[in-house]
Parts: sequence; structure tokens; C-alpha cells
Amino acid sequence: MKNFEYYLDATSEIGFVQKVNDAIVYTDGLPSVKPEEIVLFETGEYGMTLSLTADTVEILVFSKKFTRTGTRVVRTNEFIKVPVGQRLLGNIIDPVGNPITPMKSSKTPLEYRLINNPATGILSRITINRQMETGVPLVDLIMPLGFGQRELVIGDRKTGKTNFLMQTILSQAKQGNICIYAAIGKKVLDIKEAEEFFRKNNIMDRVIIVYSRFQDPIGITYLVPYSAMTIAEYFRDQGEDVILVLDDLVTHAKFYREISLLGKRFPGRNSYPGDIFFTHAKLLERAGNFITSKGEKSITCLPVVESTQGDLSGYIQTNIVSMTDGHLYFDTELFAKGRRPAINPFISVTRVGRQTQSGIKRDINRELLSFLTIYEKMQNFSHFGAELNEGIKSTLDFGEKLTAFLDQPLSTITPLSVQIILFAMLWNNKIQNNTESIDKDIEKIVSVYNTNKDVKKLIDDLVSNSTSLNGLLTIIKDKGKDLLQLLGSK
Amino acid sequence: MQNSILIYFDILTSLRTTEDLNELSFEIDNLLSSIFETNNQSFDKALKSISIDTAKKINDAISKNGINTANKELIRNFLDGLKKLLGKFKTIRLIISIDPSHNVIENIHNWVVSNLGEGYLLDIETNQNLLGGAIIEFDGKYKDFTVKKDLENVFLSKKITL
Repeated sequence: MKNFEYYLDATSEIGFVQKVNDAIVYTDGLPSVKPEEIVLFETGEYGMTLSLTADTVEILVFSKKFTRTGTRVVRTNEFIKVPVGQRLLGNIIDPVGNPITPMKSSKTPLEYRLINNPATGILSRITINRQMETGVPLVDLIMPLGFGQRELVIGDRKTGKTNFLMQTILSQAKQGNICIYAAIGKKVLDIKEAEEFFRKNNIMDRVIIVYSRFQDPIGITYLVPYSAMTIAEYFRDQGEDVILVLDDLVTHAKFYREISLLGKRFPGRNSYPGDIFFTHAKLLERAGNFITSKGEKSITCLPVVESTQGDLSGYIQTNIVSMTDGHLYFDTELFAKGRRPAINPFISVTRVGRQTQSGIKRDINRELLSFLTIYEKMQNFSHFGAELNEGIKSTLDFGEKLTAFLDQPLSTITPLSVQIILFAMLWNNKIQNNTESIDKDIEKIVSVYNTNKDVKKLIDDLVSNSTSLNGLLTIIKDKGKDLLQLLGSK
Repeated sequence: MQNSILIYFDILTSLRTTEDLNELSFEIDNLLSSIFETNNQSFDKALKSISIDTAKKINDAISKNGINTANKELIRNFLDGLKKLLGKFKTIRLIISIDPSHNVIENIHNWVVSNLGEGYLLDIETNQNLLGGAIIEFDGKYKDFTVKKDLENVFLSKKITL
């Protein structure tokens, strides 16, 4: 951005601050200023035009510094832009592109893109038809997600939402996709923890963190998700599949509410402004599965929303549920029971994920869901203390094993092919009879799969050549022991 | 009392700059507080709390419009009306390189009155770095007609750096 005098000469327009209301400033003058245009104060701060009247211009200031009345303001004829480019990978930036640490120099200059782009039209969109692997069996087998899906991650505080998101980013970054983590109004420590996780797992070169801290100016925090989406759009146009995590939209809504109330907008439900739905809808609408010049590319958006005491009927919560293609509900009760991830499959929804599954995956999905329903019923039944027959006992016994299989240690991922083979083995009773050792077995199998190329090829071929669960089960029945031996030996 | 802008005409047209306006506004405040200071305070006595020049203008306007100076309520309405009108002036901001004399201000103001009409005040700032000419800021518009700018443009066009 150039200096104040430059814009004064270029635009030949000036305004003076008349009134200051925290982050909102009212000025006179600037007759040709446009909504959302950047304005520059003579003190060096900048802001964005929010609204215009015949006499005054309402400006959102992107600074914590106190603005004095009488300060001169100039318009810039520019709109909020974010620098985009390959150089951003591995960096932590604020929504206007300033990195925490200096970026590596590169011959390719960064390109600037508008933060508030309209969503891509319907003609450039195609059906979601590729499954996006999260590395979490509970999600990949029961609540599958597709590339381009917008799946809400909802749950109370401390129910493992961030952990699941980290696992998803880890899984996707390892597959070479671009992951953008938008930390909205977070504590510095949280941002640092996320960065450390990415660095520890050597995936930072495929990750960009767009952040705003809790103490940052409200205008800056408001821009974070839009900026992150703009960066996601850039990488999509470069021929990459992008995973975008927006953590979290309730905080974003609260900051937007603050801006609106300071701007004296009429408050609606829970004091949120009337356009809060539009504010989030215009953002999430920009994600999806697209046909680009580089083929079918997607922006998969995982917005996070925090609920209070498991209440899904909050204003922002219901708004975002209605905008997304499903939601993963993190249940406090399941978390307390020790389930990891604590996703409740009966309350969670995936509207477009199942259409991405192959025949075998759909079979597994159906079997798993129907078994879990029966298992849930049996568990309730057993609470009455009735004498259990052998059938119920075996269902409960298998249910425990299945739960142990679906539980996953934090920060680990299980490849989808391994998940399918493991499920088939479990279904055929080929894996350990005691639930305690299932975790260790899974860990060992995943490690062999990741390190032994032959085993990896064997499993991948086995899964891709199976058209139905029954077919796979027959193979496992015949060759299960050999396969287990192979997986057990490094 | 006539409820018209005309009763203040002489006072308002005597203003040239925002400094004049601020001074008048301050004096009206003084007057308003002093007429109610004591019960027996006469208006003539209260006029002594402000400058002779302003006191004369106000006195002339009051007597011309037949306002009873014994009635403090009428006086207050008169002064309140005047104060309200002061807020309606538009300001033309001039940044010039010289400290303007009274005549220069008068000439500029006359030009404004003949071209734009009444209701405009000059807000003059001095900046010797401009060398000559003026920067005009009015109604959100900014125009730089200074010698400094002209010279800068010359240097820029000839790619000379100092």
C-alpha cells in the first residue's frame, strides 16, 4: 500500500474524522468512496468502508490505535486484497497476508486477490463424487465426506473437535492436498499448538495458517475466513484440492455482531444483525467441487461451530447446519465415556458423502450403521438387568470390539484401505478376541502398511478389486490368516 | 420576535473564517451564562463580558428587531437561534504558504461569496513548504495548486531526484 499523500493526489478527495465509536469511525467528505473500499488515515492506519450516507462515511478501522476526530482520511480506490501464491505454503499469516515470520524470497511475485469474491456459478460446479479421506474410520466408514463437501463440525468445548480436524489435515496433507487452517480469534497458544502439530508431522509445507488473535482488532478477525477462502480459491485454480478448516464460526459471528452493534445496526435474535445468515452463507457458498481449467478440483470446507451444553438449536448453530452438507456432532457424553473421536453417528449427517462411496464401502457403511443401531438397543436392553441370551451376549461382545476398532488414538490416522481390511477381518473374527489388544494390532498393521510397499500394494489391490463386502469377506475367510501373518511381520 | 434568518444576517455575514466562528460561538456561550448569573443583571451589563465588536453587532441586531432586552427568555431564544445557525456554515479549507493579511482574507471571502454565495467560511492553515499557491479542501474534494506540487511534477517528468 502506498502512502497517504500518494492517494490524496491520485483521488483528489479527502475526509475528516467526525466521530469515533471504538472500531467504527464516521467521516465527512470522500464523495466518490465506494462500499468496502479501503481508506487510509493520515496516521498510517487503514480501514474499510462499511456504509455510506449523504453526509457521512462509516469506516471499520483495522487498528487498535485510538483514532482522533479531525484526522484526515483519504480513499484509495482499492479493495481488501490478500496476497496469494505458492510461497504462502508453510506460513502463518494474518488475513491481509502479513506473515508472523518473514517469508522465503521467491522469483515469482505474490498475486493479489480480492477477499470478498462472489461464489462461483452453478455452471462451474459438478457433483461431489470423490471420497475425502480423513484417516478416522468412524468418519470414513460411517459418515464419509466427499471432496467439495461443506461439513459442519459441531460440539461443546473440549470434545475433541480440533483433534479430529488435525487428523483430517494430517491425512489430506500426506496425500499432497493443500490444507488451510483459519484460526479465528484464537489464543496465541492454540495457534502455536496447531503449528507445532503440523511441523512435528512434517506437513507444514502443505499447510497455511490464516490467523487472528483474540486481542486483534475486530475488523481483522472478521476478515479471516474470507481471506482463507480466497487463498483456497487460488490453490483450486492452480489445480489443487483444498481442505479449508474454519475454526470457528461462532467466534466470527460474535465479532461481526460487535461490529454491527457499534455501527448501530438493528439487533435481531441474540443481538445478531439481520444479515448474519448472509455473512456466513456467502462464505460457505464459495466452497464446493468445481470444473476448472486444470480438471475437477475442490474446496472442502469444514466450518467449526461450538455448541453450549449439547444444544444444537442455537441461532448460529442452526444457521450453519442449514448451509452445510451435513454435520459431525461431537457428543460430550461419548467423550466422557472415552470414545475418541466422540462423534455421535446417530445425530451426525452427511448429505453428499455416501454418493462418493464404491459398492464395498457402501456395503460396509450399511452393515456398520445397522449393527451400531442394534448394539445401541441391546446396550439399553442390558441395562434393565435382564438375563441375556447367547445372541445378545455375542452382539454386545462384538459391539465392544467394533467400538475399540472405531476408537482411535489422538493424532494418528488410518488409511482407508487399511480401515476396510481391518473391518473385514473384524467382521470375520480374524482379529484378536480381546478388545484391549485391538488398538495395538491396528497400530502394528498401519505401520506395516505405511512402511512395506508390497503389503501396501497387496491391500490396496485387494480393496480396489473387491466389488462387494461379501466378496471381500470370502477372500478374508480364505486368506485371512496369511494376510494377518504378513501384516504382523515387518 | 421575527423567526427568520434575516434577523441574524448582519452578524452572520460578518464572519470570514472558522476562527471568527469559534470566537463568536465562545462569546455567545459567555453571554448566555452571564445573563442568568444574577437576578438583577441587565443585558447591557452582560454585553460587557464579550468583545466590544461582537457586543455592538448583537446589540444592533436586537434593537433592529425590537427585542425587549428586559425579557431574558427572549434574549436566550435569540442567542440560541444564532448558535444553531453557526453550525450550518460550510468550511473551505485553504493551506497556503503565507500568513494571510486581513485584506487577503477579505478578498478571498468576497470571491467565495460572489461565486458560491453566503454560508461559507475559510479555514486557513499556513505551510511555508508549499512555496506558493494553495491546497483547497472543500466538500470532500482535494486540489493541490501549489508551486511545490508543480515543481515536483517537473522533477518527476524530467526524472530528476534531489
